[in-house]
Amino acid sequence: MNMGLFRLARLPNCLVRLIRCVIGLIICIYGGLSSYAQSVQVITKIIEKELPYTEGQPIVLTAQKADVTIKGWNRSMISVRLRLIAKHPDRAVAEQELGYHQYSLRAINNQIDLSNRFVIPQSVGKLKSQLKAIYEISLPAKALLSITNSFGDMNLSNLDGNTTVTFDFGRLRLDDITGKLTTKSDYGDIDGRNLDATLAIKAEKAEITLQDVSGNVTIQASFGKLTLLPNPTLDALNVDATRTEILIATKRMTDFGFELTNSFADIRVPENVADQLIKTKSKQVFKYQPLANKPEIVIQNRYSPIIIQGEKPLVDRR
Amino acid sequence: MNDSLPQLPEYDPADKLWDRIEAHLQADEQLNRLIRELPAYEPQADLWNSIDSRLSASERTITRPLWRNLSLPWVGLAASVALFMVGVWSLWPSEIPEKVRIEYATEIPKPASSKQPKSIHWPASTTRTEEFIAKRCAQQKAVCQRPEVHELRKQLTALTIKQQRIEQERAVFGDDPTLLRAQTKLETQRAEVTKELITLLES
Repeated sequence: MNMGLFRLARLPNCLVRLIRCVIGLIICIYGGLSSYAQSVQVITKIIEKELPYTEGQPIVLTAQKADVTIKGWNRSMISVRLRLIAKHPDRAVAEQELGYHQYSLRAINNQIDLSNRFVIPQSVGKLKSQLKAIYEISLPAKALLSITNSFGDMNLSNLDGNTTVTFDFGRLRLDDITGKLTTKSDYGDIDGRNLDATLAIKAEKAEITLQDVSGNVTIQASFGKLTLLPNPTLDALNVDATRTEILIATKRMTDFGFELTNSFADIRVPENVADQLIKTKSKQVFKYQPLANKPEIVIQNRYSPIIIQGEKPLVDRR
Repeated sequence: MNDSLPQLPEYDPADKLWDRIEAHLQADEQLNRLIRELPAYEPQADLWNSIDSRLSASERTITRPLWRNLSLPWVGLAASVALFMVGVWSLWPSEIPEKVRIEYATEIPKPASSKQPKSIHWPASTTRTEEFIAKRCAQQKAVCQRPEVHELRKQLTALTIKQQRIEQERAVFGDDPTLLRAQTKLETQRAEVTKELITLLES
């Protein structure tokens, strides 16, 4: 080794520089080729469309494996940007399988129909590419909106109309929602902030977190987790749950009245109101009404605990 | 051609054919004779003059003004309405044709998360769990008839059905990240339900 270095040191300077350049070039080419080999070709078909909207006209979004972002605005137009994506290391494969995306963005029978689906020939079998659809939609805030989706994340914000969302798996994020919202979730998590709506949620095996929630809220849940931070401006909150861990975190307990019933599991409340808790063999009941005309929180649960937090800050359980 | 002529079929003419042809010929001769016997009439002497006078009378054209009954304010109002309608039409929101374009990019894939299951032996674990539960229920019938056990078993069945759906999706879409996340969630749920069920059966 030392002999080799000695010999290299004895070569003319210009030759040494040339050898270094060649070695550097080889390393660069190798690095570039290896990163190219690892890279994935992303082919995106972008469709942009604007559709006029008349008041009361239903907007129906039927999505598959789609990430959806919907924002309410005060224009009487619907703006849709749909991205259909195919990813594969081989560009030709991605290009071919991009063709399996199908979509529709149109007004038909006085209804706005927005949809995507996958049409895969039987001879193809298993897809080689990763296919995904991404919607970015702006629509009138007071629109009549109905959404179905599977295996995708959704973000809804600034909506003040009548919205229905049915989905399984994935996640639903809600921000600044008023009006009416009905949601049915199967294995899909829900995360909501600043909600002041007539809100109805039916969820199976979902983690639900609602912060700053007002309005009239009805929740049916089973086999999940439910965390609620109600606002004192709440109208009413009703929860009917089975095997759902429920946490209600309030800034002041005195802002609400409580009527809690739990079968085969505990109700945990702050120390200062623990004397209001009645325990029997299989059932626990907690009734608390500090002042008249306070919004009522009514919860029924089975087999999983109900926890009420008072002045303490909420502990992030996730 | 000559050889094939004798092979052609023979047809006889219809009865009284010649009588009908003869009758037609006689009718033509009769018609020519009768035309010659028709009377001839001359027109009246002043007929052309009367026609000529009537033609010159019809040349006088009556002109009717188109706007005779319309005053200027009415015309202005009509023009304003027309202009207003054109304006509304131009500003009225209309469906704009969609714009479609294709974009190409490359990305370096993120290293696969160790949490994401690459291959899952779900059927094997399902079978083992079901076998265990069935065995326990055979031994302790009273325990399995409890509503909470019944409900948990129902949940396990529901989870199995969902799992089958994910398997179907994976058969088409492969190891898609969203499907793997869904599968992880199902597994977690299943583990929780199974743990609770076994705890109940063991108690």
